[in-house]
Amino acid sequence: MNETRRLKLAELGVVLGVVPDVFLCCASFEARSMSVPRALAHLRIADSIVFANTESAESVASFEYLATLLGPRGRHVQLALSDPLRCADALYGAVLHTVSSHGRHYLVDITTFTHELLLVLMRVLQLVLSDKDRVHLVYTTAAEYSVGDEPGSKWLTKGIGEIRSVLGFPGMMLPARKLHLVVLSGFEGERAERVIDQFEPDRISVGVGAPESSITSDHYQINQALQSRLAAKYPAVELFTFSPSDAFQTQQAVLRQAGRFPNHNVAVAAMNTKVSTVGAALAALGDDSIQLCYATAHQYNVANYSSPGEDCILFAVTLKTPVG
Amino acid sequence: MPEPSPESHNPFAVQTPEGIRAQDVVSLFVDVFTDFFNIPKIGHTFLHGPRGSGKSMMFRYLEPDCQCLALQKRVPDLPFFAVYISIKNTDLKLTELQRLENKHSALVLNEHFLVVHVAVKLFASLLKVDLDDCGVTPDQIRSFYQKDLKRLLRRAGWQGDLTEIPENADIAECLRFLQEMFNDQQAAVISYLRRLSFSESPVAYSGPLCGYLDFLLPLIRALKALPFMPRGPVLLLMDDADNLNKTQTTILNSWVSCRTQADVSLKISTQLNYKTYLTATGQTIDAPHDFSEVNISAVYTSMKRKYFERVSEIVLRRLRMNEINATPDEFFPPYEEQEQKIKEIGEKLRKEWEHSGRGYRASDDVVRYARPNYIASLQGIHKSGSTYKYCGFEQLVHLSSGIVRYFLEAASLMYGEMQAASGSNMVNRIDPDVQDRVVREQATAFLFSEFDRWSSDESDDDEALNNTRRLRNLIRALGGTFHQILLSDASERRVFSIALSEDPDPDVLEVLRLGVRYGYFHQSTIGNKEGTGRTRLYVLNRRLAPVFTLDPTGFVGYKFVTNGILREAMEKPTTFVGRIRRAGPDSVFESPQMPLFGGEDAL
Repeated sequence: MNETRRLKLAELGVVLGVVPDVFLCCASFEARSMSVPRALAHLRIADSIVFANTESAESVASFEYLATLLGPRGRHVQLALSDPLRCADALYGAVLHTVSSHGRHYLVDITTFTHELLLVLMRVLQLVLSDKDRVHLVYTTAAEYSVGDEPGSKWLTKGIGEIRSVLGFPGMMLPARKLHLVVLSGFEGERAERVIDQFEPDRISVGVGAPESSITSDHYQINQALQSRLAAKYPAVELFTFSPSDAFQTQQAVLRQAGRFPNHNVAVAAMNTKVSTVGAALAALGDDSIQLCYATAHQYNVANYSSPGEDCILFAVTLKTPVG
Repeated sequence: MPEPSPESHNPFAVQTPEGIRAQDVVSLFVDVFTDFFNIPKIGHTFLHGPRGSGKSMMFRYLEPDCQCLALQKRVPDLPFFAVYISIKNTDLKLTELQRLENKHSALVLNEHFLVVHVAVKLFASLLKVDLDDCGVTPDQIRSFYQKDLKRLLRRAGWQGDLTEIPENADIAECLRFLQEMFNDQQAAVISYLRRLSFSESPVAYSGPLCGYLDFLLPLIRALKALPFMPRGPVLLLMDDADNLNKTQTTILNSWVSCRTQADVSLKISTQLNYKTYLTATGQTIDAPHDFSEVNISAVYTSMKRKYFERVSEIVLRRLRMNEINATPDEFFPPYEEQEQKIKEIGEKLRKEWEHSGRGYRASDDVVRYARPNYIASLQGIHKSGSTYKYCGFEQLVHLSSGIVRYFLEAASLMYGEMQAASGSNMVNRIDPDVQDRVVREQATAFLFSEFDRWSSDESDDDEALNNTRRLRNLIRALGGTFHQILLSDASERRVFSIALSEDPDPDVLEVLRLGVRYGYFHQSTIGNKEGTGRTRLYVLNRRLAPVFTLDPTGFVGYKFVTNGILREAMEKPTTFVGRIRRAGPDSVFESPQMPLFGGEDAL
C-alpha cells in the first residue's frame, strides 16, 4: 500500500491507530524536530531513539528537550556527521538493538535527519528489518523556510564541502558508460549547480517539484525560478517534475528519468524535501545501479532555517523487497 | 548514431570534450602543443590548470580517433596511442573504500580498482577507431587474449574458467568482449564494496587483484606488440586526477615513479587541487626527476601573444562551423567612437614624443598612454569612469585572462542575448554595448557572488574566515591601487602585477595561495631586484578589470612589494588606497630595477 496522507499533527496519534513499538527521530536546531515527538508524547511509545549531531551545539537544546520529553523510554545516540562511517555504524547498531523476531511497528520522524543520514537510515532499515516489521515515516511540514527572508534571498545552507557517494548506495558506475546525473533541486539551486559542475555529467536531468504536490505555492515558485536558471546555464539539461510531498511519486519519477538514457551510469542528488529524498532512496533500494550522492554543507541557516507547520505527511514503506 | 553537435546552436556553447565527436573535435581544436610540447611526448607529465583552461579538450584531441582524422593517418602510423581516462567525482572515490583505510588491503584493492578502470578505458579507445584497414584480424585479438591476457589474469588471482571470445566475433566484438570482462571486474569490486558498507569486521575478497607493474604494464606491452598498434608509447591521459581519493593518488604517484615512459607515459591533469605527491611507500615524486610539469595559466600569462592567437583561431573555427563568415574582430567589434578618440590621443602623443616623449620610440608612448589617458579623461568628466566600454575582440581576449572558457562563456551569453533581442537565429556581430554589459556583469559576479560562493566552501574556522576576508581586502587594495596608477603620471600605468621583494610570512603567503587557487591571481616568477635569482610574481586576474576600471590590454608593469605592504593591504585596504591617492604609488611601492617596459612576453 503506497498511500501518502497529509494530516494535522494533532491527528497523528489517532490516524496511526495503534501505538508504534519503536520511534526514531533526530534532534536538530530546527524547532520542527520537536513537533512529532510532542504530538505523540501522550502515546508513551515504549522504545524511542533520539539521534543527535554532536558537532552541532545548536542541536543540544532540542536534544535535551527530547530527552526530557521521552524520559527513560528514550535512548540517545550521538552522531558525528563529518564521519559517515561512524554515523552509519551508530545507526546500524541502534536499529539492530530494536529488532524483535516477532516483528515490530516502527515510526520514523524523518523531518530533521540530514539528507545523507536519512538515506543511510533507509538502507539500514532495509538491511536490518524483516518482512514482519512495519515501517511508517512521518514528516512535519514547514510553515516557512528561511523565515522572514524575501523569496529571492531565501537560503538554507551555504557552501559545499565534499561531494561524496552515500554509504550503502555506491551504484554501479561502470567506466565504459557515460554519466547521467539526476538532481532533485530545491531552494538550494546554487548547490545543484555546484554538484553539476563537479560531476561534469554527459546527461543532466533536473527535477523540480510539481505544482500540485509542492508543500506550499511559495516553494513551487522558488523552484520554478531555479529551474529557469539551470535551464539557461545548461542548455542540454532535461527537466522533469517530481513530488516533494509524495515519496512514491518521486520514486517513480526518478526511475522514469533514470531510464531515459539506457546504458548510462546514474547518480542522483536529492536536494529537495526529506519526503522526496525518501523517494530517491526507494528508487535506489530497488535499483542497485543508481548511485546516491550528497554534497556536504558548510553552514546552515541555523537561526531561521524553518518554522514548523501544523501538518504532517505520513506514509508506510515496504523495504524488504525491491520497491517499484 | 553520433549525437548532433550542440555547437551548431550557439557557436560558443561549452560542451564536455569527452562527448564531442572526433570530427567536431578536430574542427574545433586549435593545436596548442607547441605551447605544451611535453604533453604528446614520451615521459610522465602533470598538466595543471583551472576548470575551463582546455585540459580535457587537449586530451580528447590526442585520442586515436581524433589523431587519425587530424593527421590523416591509420592507427599503426600514429606517433602514440592515447587513452582518455576521465575521473569523475564518484567513479572511484566511493565512500565504502573508507572502510579499508589504514589497512594493507586499501592499497591492493584501490590499485585493482584503478587498473580495471584504466583497462576499460583502454579498450574503449580501441573501440573508437577504425581498425579495418590496419591489417588486424580477430584471430590476433583472440591470440592476445589466449596467450597474454589469460595468463596475466590467472597470475592476478583469477579463479575458475575464463569465458572464450565467441567464435564468429569480428574485431569490434572481440574488443567489446574484453572491455566487458573488465567492466565485470569493476562491477565485482563495487559489489564487494557494497558488502563492506555496514560491516565493521573484515569481509573476504576473492577476486583477482591487478596491479600496475604485474598486470597493467604487461597488458599494455602485449597489446603494443599487436600489428595495429603504433610504435610509440601508450599515453594514459588521466583527466581530473584531483577526484581520486588519497590512497588512489599515492598509487598513481607510484606508477609515475616507475620508469616505464617508453611504453606507458602518464599524462595527469589536475585542477590545482591534487591531494599529494607521495607514493604508496611514502616517497615523494619530484619534477623534473620523475615527471615534467606544465601550468596552463602560467604559460598563457607569460605568453600573451600566443594566447591571443589561440583564442583567435578557436573563435574563427567556431564561427566557420556555424557558417558565419565574419572574422573574430568583425564579430566582436570595438566601440568605434571610443577607438577613434583613443586614436586621436595616440596621434597627439606621437606628435609630442620628440620633445616630451618618455619611451624609446613614439609608438611606445602611443601603446602605453593612449588608452590610459582616455580612461583618465573619462574619469575627470564622469567621476565614475564607467563609460569606458570593454568591447572589441582584443579586449575580450585580454579580459579572459588566459582561460579559454572565460572567453567562450562570455561569448555564449552575448550570443544568446543578441539572438533573443533580434528574434533571429543568425547573429552576425555582437553589439559593443552587449559585450560591455556581459563582461561587466561577469566581473562583478567574479568579485562578489562567486567570491561569496567559494569562500563559504572554505572551512568555517576563524583562520579560514580571516584568510578569505584578507584576500578580498587585498584584491580591493590592489585593484584600487592599479586604478590610481592608471590615472597617475607614472611612466608605466598599465600595472596588473606585484612581485615580492622578500619572502612573505606564512600567513601572507597563505592568502596569496588562496587567491591563486580560486583564480584571482596567476602566479609566476620574475627576476628579483638584486638580479641574483627569481622571486614570486602575482598577476591580478584581468577579468576584474571592469570592476576597478583598468586597462586590460597590457600588463607588463609590475611593482615590487614588501611583506609589510602586503600585510597592510590585507588589513586596511581603504587606508592603503587612500595613501596612494594622496602620496602616489611610490609612497608604498618599490620600483623594479629591471626595465619596466619589457617586451610583451616579459612576464
